[in-house]
Amino acid sequence: MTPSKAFILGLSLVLFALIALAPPGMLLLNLFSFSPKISIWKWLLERQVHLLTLHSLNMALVATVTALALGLPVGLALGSKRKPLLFGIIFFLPLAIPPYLTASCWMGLLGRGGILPHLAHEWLGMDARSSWLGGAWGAGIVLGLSYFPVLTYMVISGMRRLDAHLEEAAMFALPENGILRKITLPLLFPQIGTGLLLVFLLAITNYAVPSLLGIRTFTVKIYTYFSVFQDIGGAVLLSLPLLLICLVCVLLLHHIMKGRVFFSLQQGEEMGGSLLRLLNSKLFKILACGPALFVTCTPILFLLFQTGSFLSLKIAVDQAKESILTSFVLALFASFCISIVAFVSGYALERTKWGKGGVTRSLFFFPFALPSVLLSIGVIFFWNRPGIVLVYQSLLIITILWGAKYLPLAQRVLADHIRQIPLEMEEIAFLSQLSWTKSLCRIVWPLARPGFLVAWAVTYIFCLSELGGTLLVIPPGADTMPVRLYNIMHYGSSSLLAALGLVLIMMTIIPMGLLVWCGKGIKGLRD
Amino acid sequence: MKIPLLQVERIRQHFGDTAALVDVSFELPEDQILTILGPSGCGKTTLLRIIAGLQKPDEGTVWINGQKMNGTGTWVAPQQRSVGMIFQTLALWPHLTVEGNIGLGLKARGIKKADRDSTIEEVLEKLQMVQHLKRYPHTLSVGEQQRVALARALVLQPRLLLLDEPFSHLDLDLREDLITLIKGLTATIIFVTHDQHDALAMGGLLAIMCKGRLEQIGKQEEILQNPATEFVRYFVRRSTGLFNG
Repeated sequence: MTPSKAFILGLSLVLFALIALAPPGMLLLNLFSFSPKISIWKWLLERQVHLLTLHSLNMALVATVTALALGLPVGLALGSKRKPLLFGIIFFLPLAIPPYLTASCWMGLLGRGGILPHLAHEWLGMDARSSWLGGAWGAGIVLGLSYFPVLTYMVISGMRRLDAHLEEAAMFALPENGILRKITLPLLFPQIGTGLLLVFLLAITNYAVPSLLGIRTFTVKIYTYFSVFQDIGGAVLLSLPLLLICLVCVLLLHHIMKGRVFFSLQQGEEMGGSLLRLLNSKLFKILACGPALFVTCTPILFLLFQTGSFLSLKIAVDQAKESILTSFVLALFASFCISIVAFVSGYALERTKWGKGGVTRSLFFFPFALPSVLLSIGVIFFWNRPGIVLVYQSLLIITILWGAKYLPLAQRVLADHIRQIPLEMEEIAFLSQLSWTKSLCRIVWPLARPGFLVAWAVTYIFCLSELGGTLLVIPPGADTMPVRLYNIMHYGSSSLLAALGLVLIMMTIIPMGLLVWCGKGIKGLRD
Repeated sequence: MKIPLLQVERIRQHFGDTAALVDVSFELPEDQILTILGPSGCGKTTLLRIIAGLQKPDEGTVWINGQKMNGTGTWVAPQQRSVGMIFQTLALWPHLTVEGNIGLGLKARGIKKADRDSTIEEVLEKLQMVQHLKRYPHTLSVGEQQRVALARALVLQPRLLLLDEPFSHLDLDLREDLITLIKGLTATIIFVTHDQHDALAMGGLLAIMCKGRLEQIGKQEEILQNPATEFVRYFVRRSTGLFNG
């Protein structure tokens, strides 16, 4: 390895370790040196733990099932045929709406005192006020509605890598539905399994939705406990069962994928896709996409309805100018920095011997599986030290928290993309007398650019809407849009909430639209 | 006595328990074409990669033009070996035009644009590809892509050109065209193939490999007339039927 290569890759890994691994790692390493205000044995035997586990698992499982019911058919429908750009954009919308906003919309529609129960009462004399949305099931459904595109994109990614010849070969022996059951779905199993596990992880580590709906899950408990007692050791102890669940999920992910790529960005001409008439039929597409389209558009229409007029929107923007600017600049800055570190460290992970190990890969992905509430406690513990207190007191600490959470995800996207670039492309560059640095800049970087933009987009979307962890680390006086929205949900008016919710969605959609528009020329990006 | 351009001394390479190369040694004089012929998986590509510096051998040494390339405390990077290579997959950079693919190495050497352009044009003229200068690889036919890969390797005037089964996807006519083209080059070439017809069409020196061992090396006629081992006799005779050994 040349000195420049060793330096650049080493630096990226040090940054990765400082940002993503050190905060949770230091928490766990110091687990026994903390003096928590609670006893571990007493806590683990308490009935409350069982309730929290039940609620958390219930919520995450319902979210996973909801995502499966909505996301799999959409993935099969969109992955079966080329050029799903328009639908792809529409089904990207649920990710652009933060789950707490989705929850608030569905509460406004279906919850106690919601519009529909009110109308049912007024017009039909029915008492349709139910509290189901306030339970773990309701929270799970809301999270499933928010995260089903994750599964959809995983399925589409799997469909693109599907070798249609395998289906063709089966056509001599099996009917269409048999091919779907015996060939297509088993071939897609790794992507479906990964998508479901990712949805499960995103749901079980979510803080904002259960907190808003008043459900006692682990994340809510950890947040409340730490906010009240500022007891790091106690908070870590409280999170141990959740940590175990997350660890199992990460190991399962590793087992399911067995070295396959999570994210495929195959380029236009080589795209695969199922040949089955069943999946390519218009009826299937309508049946698959209809419900998903409905649950995607409903919250946006509700927000538009609640906002009322353009004037309300303007007033809301005027009021929240500072939060909008802070959120936008911070998310833009954080996602860009995260993607740069992810690109180089992803290269290190993919193209060096030590990065090939399953343990290393799982370890590097683990921080993403952790709840941001716990990560923020880790960030506070690791970064709130004399000498670097300025970091802790500035907005930089939010960037670091987002990095801790989303750098592993961005790194996985980019490492997967780099794996799909043939090694020979680099080797021929070396033989053409390009140094490693030049090869990285002139060969790997242009070829990895679609992956970089996807990593950036994913990170930007998640950073912009991150709430649970941000609430704990945000410096006094500072305000991000999710924090403002969260406060309005508790103390503000519904029209202001809807207007700012729309602004937040636009803050996601406009840069993504620009990205798609500007990136049309970048081969592979539109896919 | 003139030093051979390439000396390979007792190269060994293992992948886990599998021996990919076992004590491979040979010499190649300047301006000669050596064809390494052997069945798939016999270690031909590994040998090329070691010569190119893309892989470090477990044991053994490679010398190019009398300079030691590897060994205790010695490692010459691929960039400094003056070796050109064409992979089986060609590995043309899809984001660069033909001009970009060919010119990138020259640019890395710091050659000025005007000189670069004239060199690229010269090479492409030789390969009858000038009209494709601004096209991207995916818009070219397989034969044209092959020529671009060859041009990319030749433009840097390497001392040694390594061809790793570059014709495996081509039809017979295109193969013959390219073999004629390569034979007309004034360069030291190692051509690796599993196809006996290509090997015999290339002429020059022939080496037969089997299970990581170099079974025999010499002039084609010598090998055809006096195969050193049973494998050589079997392998060459089996598909060509050119001699009765």
